[in-house]
Amino acid sequence: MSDRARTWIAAVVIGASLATIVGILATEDPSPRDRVDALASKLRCPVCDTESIADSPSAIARDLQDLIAEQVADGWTDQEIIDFFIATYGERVLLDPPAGGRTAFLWIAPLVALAIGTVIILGRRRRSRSTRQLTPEERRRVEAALRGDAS
Amino acid sequence: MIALFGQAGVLVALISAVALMVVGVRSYLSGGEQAADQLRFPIWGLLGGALIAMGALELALLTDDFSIEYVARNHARGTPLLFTIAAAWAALEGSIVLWGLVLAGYSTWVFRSLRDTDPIGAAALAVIGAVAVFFFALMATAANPFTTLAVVPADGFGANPLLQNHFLMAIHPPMLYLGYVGMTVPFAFAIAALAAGDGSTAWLERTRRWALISWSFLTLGIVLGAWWSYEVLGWGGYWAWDPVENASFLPWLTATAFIHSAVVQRRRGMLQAWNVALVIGTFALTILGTFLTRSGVVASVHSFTQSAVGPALLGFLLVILIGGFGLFAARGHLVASTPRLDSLASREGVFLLNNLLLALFAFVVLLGTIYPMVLEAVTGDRVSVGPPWFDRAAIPIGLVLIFAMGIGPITPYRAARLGVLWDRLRGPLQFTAVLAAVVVLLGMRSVTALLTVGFGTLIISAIARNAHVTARARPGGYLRSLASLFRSDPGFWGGMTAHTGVALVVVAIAFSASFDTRTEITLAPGESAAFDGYTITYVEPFARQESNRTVIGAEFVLFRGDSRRATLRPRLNQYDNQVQAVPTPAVHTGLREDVYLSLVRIEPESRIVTIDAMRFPLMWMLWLGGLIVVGGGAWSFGARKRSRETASV
Repeated sequence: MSDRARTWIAAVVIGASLATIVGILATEDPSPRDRVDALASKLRCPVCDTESIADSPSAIARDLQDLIAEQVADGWTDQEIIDFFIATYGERVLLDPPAGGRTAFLWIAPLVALAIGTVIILGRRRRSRSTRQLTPEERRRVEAALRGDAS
Repeated sequence: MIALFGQAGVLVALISAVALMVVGVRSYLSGGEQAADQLRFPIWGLLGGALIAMGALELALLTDDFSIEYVARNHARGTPLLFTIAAAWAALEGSIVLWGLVLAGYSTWVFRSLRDTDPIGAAALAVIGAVAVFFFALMATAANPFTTLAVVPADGFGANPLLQNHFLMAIHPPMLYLGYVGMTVPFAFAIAALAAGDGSTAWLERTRRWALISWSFLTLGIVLGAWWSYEVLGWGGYWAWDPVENASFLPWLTATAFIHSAVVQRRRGMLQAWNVALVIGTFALTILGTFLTRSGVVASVHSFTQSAVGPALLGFLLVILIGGFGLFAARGHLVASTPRLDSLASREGVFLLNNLLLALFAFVVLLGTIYPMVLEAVTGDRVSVGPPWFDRAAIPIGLVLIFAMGIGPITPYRAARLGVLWDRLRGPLQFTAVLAAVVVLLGMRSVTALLTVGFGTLIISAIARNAHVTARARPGGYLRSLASLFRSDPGFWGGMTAHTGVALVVVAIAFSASFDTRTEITLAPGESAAFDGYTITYVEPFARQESNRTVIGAEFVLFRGDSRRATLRPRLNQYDNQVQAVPTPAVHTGLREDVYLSLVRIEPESRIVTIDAMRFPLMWMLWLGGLIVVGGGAWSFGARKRSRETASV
């Protein structure tokens, strides 16, 4: 099989697979069950140190998970449920610290670190001088030399 | 009596550590001639003293010598043998003894590798001596494991129930410490090279095996720790971004970065100064990890100690940071390398990307771990930084990392042409795309999970293609070439083995996170419940008295269709020294999935039982992958390299 044919087959196989994946994922609706889980895993179980309501095996975590399920069933929005928990247990209930106020640094610092690292790495690249393209005149002379013409 | 013996051991080790430091520095200053002869006495003193201390502690535990406070607090007459032995590192003071012993072992190994004239080796041993002085001084003062009690109790209190509930807790800490402490060796050589202004790669070549062996042990320690959480904690999780888990993960990240950038330095002479910084940082992170675990600064399931050791460890950490990075700032230019990158699209470029991402990953985990503590210390405000925050940072970084793992090893050095890459990736990419489509058809809907599975597949299929092509190009039979491939370049193929393990781990994580199900089930004896294609039949409750605990549990039979799969006995273990019972889940591991039952309660009268039933797919792949990573690391340091410069692509 020629290299060109292999590339065509590869393109078709990869394209068809990606089309299947995108097609299925785009037509999927999130279920309410996912919302309860998502919320419960963002809220700290009040009697635990770091475990979420979704993960903790404690009795209070179970009760709170049922409460979230009821609130979702009653049509509360995610923000209303989160506000309810902050009002009841304080801001420490949030396992995901807010992107402002006292925890803004937690959000800014990683981005700054990424930017600094990227700049450092780009700075390590050799200046393009050593790999610059030949001028047409130079190219002609090199090609001539390779052919063996002594011009 | 035993206490006296142990204390004598600590003192001998402490004096020998001081001698090692002093004699090592003197030997370095005088050119390192006959360094081994001069250092022999301090080294044997250090090892002997550490062995006596550890031996005395074990003897005290085994003979129930409750006149020693540590034994009285962490051991009881009824404790089974395994946990009696493991009690030596189950609490703060004993774990420092283990640390000291492991450090003495590593320094003996370094000593045995000394050359006739070896100033750098002598200086490195002096640095190790200084570290040993700190730990043995800690044992002699704030964390003395041999403090005696005026009134000897009849029985001890026994160790933390969580730590004597599963055999993995007996081996997880020593593995972790073998990893943590081993990082002292590359650190010591890096400091020695800095002090000497030695810009060669000699220190890197010499410490390669210790870097790899400590990295392998650290990996094993982390895998065993995750496994233990899964088997013991009862919620089916294995990683929660708990500060103490992060404490072991942080040095792993920087050590992993170091292992990779060391390759660049050896092959291309780049990143010399960066490697020194990574090694100092890794060592500092092991001390930070010990501080987080052992000072009680974070209240978590692991942090069960409170003592004056905290300030001491924090002070030592500051000495390392200021001393290490101060020396680096003053003399780093002496070891810095000059060669620059030809092109970002090259193996070096991918290595740089790998280092950027691993360093960023470590920075983010460090930030999230210590930010709540720093904020609380400064302002008194308490905030939580939990799994959602860590996941948000870890997932994109992790995804780019595993993508780089897929293409990195097949990217040529210096400058890669796109055509070469496409030629090498065409097959693996097709395989990956088809497999990803199949996984979506099977029901995976999370884009993150799908990308993870895809990149994991790409890693493995690209490695497989590489092995296939390389083996075919070698003379002799194909199968024999394939088998001997791993021996031809253990560094590279050990690394590829570790990559394969990482790919299995991330795929298993994606599957277990996407397809896990959990339900609460309540049953009366004899009743059955359907659970995700299984039938769970509750047989009867049981209770029994063991030497150190009361066990209550319930027996279940697990069916899939008509076929009986397993008898499962989730339990609640009630230890004498704690009111709260420790749940012990029962796990049935299958090829497709684990069925995980965790006992919530049994009503004493009606014998009605409530359990959490959970299902996690492909969990075996997670543990197997982790062990393959360890094996890959072990292979790359253990096997002798036949030819030094075999390019495997």
